Amino acid sequence: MAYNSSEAYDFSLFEPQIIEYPVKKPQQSTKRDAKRPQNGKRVTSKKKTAPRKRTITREEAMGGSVSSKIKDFQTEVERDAKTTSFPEYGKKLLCFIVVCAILIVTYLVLNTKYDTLLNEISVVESEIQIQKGENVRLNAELSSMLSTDKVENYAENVLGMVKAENYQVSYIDLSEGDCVVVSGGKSADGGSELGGKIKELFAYIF
Amino acid sequence: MTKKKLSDLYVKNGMDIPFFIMLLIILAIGLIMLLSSSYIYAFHFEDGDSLHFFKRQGVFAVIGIAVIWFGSHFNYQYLKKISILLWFASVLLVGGALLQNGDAEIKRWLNLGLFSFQPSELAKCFLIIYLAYGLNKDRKKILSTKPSKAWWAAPINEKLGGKFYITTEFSTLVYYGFIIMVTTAPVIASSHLSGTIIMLLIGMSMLWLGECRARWFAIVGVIVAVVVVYVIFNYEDVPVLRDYMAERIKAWLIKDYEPDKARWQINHSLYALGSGGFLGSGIGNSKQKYLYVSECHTDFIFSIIGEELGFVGSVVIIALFGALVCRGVYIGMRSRDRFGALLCFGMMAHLGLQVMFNIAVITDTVPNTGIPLPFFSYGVTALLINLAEMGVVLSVSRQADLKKVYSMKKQKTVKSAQS
Amino acid sequence: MSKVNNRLKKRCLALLAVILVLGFGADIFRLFYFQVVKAEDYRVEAEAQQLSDTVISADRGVIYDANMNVLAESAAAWLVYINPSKIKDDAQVKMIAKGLSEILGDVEESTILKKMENRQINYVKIKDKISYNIKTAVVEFRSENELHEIIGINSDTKRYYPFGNFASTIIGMTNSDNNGRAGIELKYNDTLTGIPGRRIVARDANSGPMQSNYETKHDAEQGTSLVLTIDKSIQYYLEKGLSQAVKDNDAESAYGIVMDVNTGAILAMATMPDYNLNEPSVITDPELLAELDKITDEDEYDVAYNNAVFLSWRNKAISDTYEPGSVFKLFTAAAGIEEGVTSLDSTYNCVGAIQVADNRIHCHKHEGHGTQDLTTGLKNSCNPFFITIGQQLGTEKFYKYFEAFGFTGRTNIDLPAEASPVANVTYHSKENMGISQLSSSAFGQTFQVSAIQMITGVSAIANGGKLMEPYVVAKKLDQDGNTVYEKTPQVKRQVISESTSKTVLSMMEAVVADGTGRNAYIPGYRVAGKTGTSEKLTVDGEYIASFVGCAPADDPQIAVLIIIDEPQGAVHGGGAIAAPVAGAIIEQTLEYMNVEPVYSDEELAKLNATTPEVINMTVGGAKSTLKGQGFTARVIGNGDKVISQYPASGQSIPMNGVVVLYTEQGKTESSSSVPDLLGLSIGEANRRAVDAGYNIRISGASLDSEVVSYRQSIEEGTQANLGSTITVYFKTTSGVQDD
Repeated sequence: MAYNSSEAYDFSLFEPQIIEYPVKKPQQSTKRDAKRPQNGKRVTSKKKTAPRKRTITREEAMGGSVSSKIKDFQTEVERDAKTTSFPEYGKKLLCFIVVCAILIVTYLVLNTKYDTLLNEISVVESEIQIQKGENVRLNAELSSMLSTDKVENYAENVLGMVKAENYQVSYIDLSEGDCVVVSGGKSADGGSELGGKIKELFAYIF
Repeated sequence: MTKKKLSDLYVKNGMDIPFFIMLLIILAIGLIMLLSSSYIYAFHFEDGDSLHFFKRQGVFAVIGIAVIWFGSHFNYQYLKKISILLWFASVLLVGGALLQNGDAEIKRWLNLGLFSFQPSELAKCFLIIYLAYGLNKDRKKILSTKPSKAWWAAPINEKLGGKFYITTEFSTLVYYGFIIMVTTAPVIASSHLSGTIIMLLIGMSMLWLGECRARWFAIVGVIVAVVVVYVIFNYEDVPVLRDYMAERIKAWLIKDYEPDKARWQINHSLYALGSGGFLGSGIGNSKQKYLYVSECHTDFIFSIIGEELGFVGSVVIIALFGALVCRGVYIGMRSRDRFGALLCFGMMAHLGLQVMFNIAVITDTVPNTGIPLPFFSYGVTALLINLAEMGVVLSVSRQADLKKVYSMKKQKTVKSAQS
Repeated sequence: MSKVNNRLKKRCLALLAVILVLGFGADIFRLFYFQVVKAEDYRVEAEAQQLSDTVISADRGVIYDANMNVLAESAAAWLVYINPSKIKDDAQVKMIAKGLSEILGDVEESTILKKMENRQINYVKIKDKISYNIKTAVVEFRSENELHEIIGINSDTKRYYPFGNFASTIIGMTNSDNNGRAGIELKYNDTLTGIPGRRIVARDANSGPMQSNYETKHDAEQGTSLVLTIDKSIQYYLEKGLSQAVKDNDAESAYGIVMDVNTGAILAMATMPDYNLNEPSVITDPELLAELDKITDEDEYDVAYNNAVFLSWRNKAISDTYEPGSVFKLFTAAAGIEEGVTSLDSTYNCVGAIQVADNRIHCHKHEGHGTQDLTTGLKNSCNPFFITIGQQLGTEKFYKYFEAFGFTGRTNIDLPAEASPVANVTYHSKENMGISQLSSSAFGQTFQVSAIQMITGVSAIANGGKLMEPYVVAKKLDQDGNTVYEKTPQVKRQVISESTSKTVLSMMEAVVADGTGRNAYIPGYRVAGKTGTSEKLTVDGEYIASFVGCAPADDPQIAVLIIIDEPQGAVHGGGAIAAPVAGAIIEQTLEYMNVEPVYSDEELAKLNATTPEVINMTVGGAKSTLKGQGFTARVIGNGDKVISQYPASGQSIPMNGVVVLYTEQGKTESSSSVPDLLGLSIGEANRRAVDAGYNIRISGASLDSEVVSYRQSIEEGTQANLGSTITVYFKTTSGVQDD
């Protein structure tokens, strides 16, 4: 009835784990000892007593079937209580699942961000289109408000302004001499000076 | 196990780790696919919070796992004592939802102030528990062919005089049939077709497992088949069918029926599957989730899975569900008693039926009806209830004799030894 | 405790088999069918749904004036429609009609109600080209009343014409499909339109963006923008002058062109009355509306209304033809001088009529002009003189110049609907030009030309004999503002020599200085011109008055042609009504072009003076200061100190003008009623204005003393501040008759 009592799951797909079981256990136990001595103790004892226990339970089971059902059940419960700890392959598998899940979730979260940005871009693009239109509309409105006839009308009729007569305009001839002369002509000198210096430098080098 | 000490309420034994790990894997994939399928919808309809559904489902998944990890230590034997109460509660909840939404077209949601949920989900779980308890308890009656002594059958038997009589087996079947119908009636009344069908199928599965005589199933099977065929050919004239049900059957039968986008959802589901092809478009790359497949984060999540993971991924997920169901059944077979077995089988039947019908809907195999995919579809109460059911199975596994490999011989020896 | 029995196990296995094999098996089978067998079909279907092939609309090009002021520009707009088939009840109909009419403003409630009458249809356009804020208001109204299924909004484009009526006949407008319907918009429709692009991209079910690897995009080729030769300011002067002319003379219409004589560029071109480019199908002219309102029949009214609308779009400056009348004498003279048949020294004795074949053609001065040289002949616009020159030229040579000046063909201006001359219909062909046709043609009768032909010909006279090709579009710009095309002025041919051109110009200058064109005289500028008046052949008793001018006469820059169609009233001659308009336009244009005026002493004497500062002076002191500078003082109030003055110091008022001095607080705003200043000479008008406490500004003054005021800027009876300046327009009416 209980001939493979501590290896409750060795029928499963994870057989290699069980082969490693005794090798790995000490390491595990020391870790656990540091953390939780009680638990570690349980595991260690289980490991050590496993072979012995196997025979004992078998005997008990055999005997139990003859003597009492209750005792049989009690021992069964007692034994099973020792398998409560999570098996090693389960932990590894869980770790693997968690890492994979985190990676995929991260990728998907980045995807959502990308999508959010795409949406934002499209919103902004349509907003730009709208604002462009608004700009044209408002400019047109502004231009129409500042059209020559409106300005002239307002100036003459509201502000009482009068157009300047031709003779009031003085014309200045700018066809000649309308240029700025920097006093001293330094810039021109500076240029030739620099040019001369460079020439000197080259003459010196070669 | 007549008398129990208080300490027996807590079972220290280890639970079935493969079942638990498979559950975790399915849950993890479910969460990932929920994220992938829901973020577009969430962005558009949850104020730009792409992770809205994922975060909520994730939090409740963690809580659920923690609860069943610790909760499965609860000795399931105590369920026997409260099973009748649970059943009453479920009838009350389903009835309550019906009354609460008196005027609404769809009456399947119960609002409890803080949150609302579909009580029919809970009712299914509680019905399984009660039937497991009852069918286990009344096994002898179910097998008995003697005249029934039930209060309603005994007078009839007297009148019939003895040549013909109502057997105990039949009267017990009628009693449990009645229990199932009482639970289902409010669900039918609330126009929840998918819930009704699933619940009736669970009930029938339980009766089947309860070892009721096979001939009744044959008779019921024939009747159901006739009704289904009749409905399919005369859906427009069947009075009990609501308009929208008839509409959905029509949309299922006529593939280019297109008023008001009756086939929009299912067509886009098929487009998604086709786009996925054999290998899928890669996780996160679904295009049909861009608001094409409606409800793609709840009932139609599998079409997005089909698109992203392809035929291969779909089959792997179905296989995972199959493996989980098999392991659950295995736990049932190895369970300490018949009650535990019936619990496990019932829960697994529920899970299996739910998965089977959900995928049948998204592949247009049956008319479109809202069946969520367990552990995948968004819905925190449904998720918690599904996990609770798995918790019951884990609880059974803690007392099951899982060491014995599927050998009926060995069990026989134990049995003989016991008797 | 009952153990798990075998029958239970078997039944369980059976159930498991049903679920796993039948259920899951069926699912996998179906998945295989859809994901492997039929995958391609469904994938194609899915892509067809996801991929949206959208047209990227090309923006229509902008139209600028010569100084890069925007005359027409397109922008995104919206369109509101209704889906009547989704309407529930009548209450909803009323609510929608009321709400939309309120938001859209110019759509009547009854119109909307009418559009919603047919409940079978899915689409009724309510209004297009609505702006963003109106669209937002509609969206708000829609969501407030949950009308998402009924009210729809589509995107649209709207063409904005900032200046409304401005240059309307040149720019033209677009129809609802954004295609040009008239003017530049029509002529350059292809250039402006551009080529729409296409974009094939995956979109979500709401047409939103979607992550996708495939995107095919053909960019839209944006419409090319146009830079016109039209100058906003000159166009404004022209339009102002023409609309005033229509008003003053109660004319049917008036049109005119200002051209750069050296390039052929059209600086301004207008037809009055015009229309609003933003509302091309609305007639605003109250007179026309009143006439239309007389039609009682509704259908007839619609037809008449539409005709009137179409008529208002007509660019008469290029589409209408008219008999040029005396203006054509310029060409006869030019041809005569060029061919040597006449010269400045030639003389002719006009006796009031001349016998041509069987007809006796009268000069407009029946008693005759007497002996006159060529310049005087042109100044008097003497018909027999020019008939004689025409006869001396002979048909062959006359026709040669008629053709060379471009009167037998289109000018090929880049505007649509240019009038096409037809031989023997609009003009006499060489073969059919007998002596009488030649004679009448010589002084501009019995044939028709368009305004654009006329001004092109005059420009050729002004610019040294080169016939230019007129044009409106100076440059084409791509979407980044780079010039992709620039018009180079096209010389069609040398028609006359430069010396002939100079001679004719000097004669034209004399016409303006003291001939029939005196009303176009501008102090300080040398204007050359010629007047013309002809009777309309189509309508009895109606005239066409015209004036063509170029300035400055010594180095012509611009040519101006003003045509007034069917002026009413006793005075209808070109010299009387068209010349003052042209004069004002030329003056403003030259001023705008910074052509320096040079005044003669005679002119200077008539100029205005600037008011001195007299505030804070005593009343006596102020009075004497003003008197010393030739002004009249008018004191308001009883104070002894000047608190304020009107006009303020530095203002320009005529010599002998009045300055109002205010000596009491609170009395600074005295106003009075403006007197009637019409029909007076300059002296009389000035006196009357000063007496009433106003100043006048003399406009349109020629050196002639015989001028009469015909318009005042502030109308009689209007309340205006004392000391305000009233512009009074003068013109002469004698000696400008020319037909």
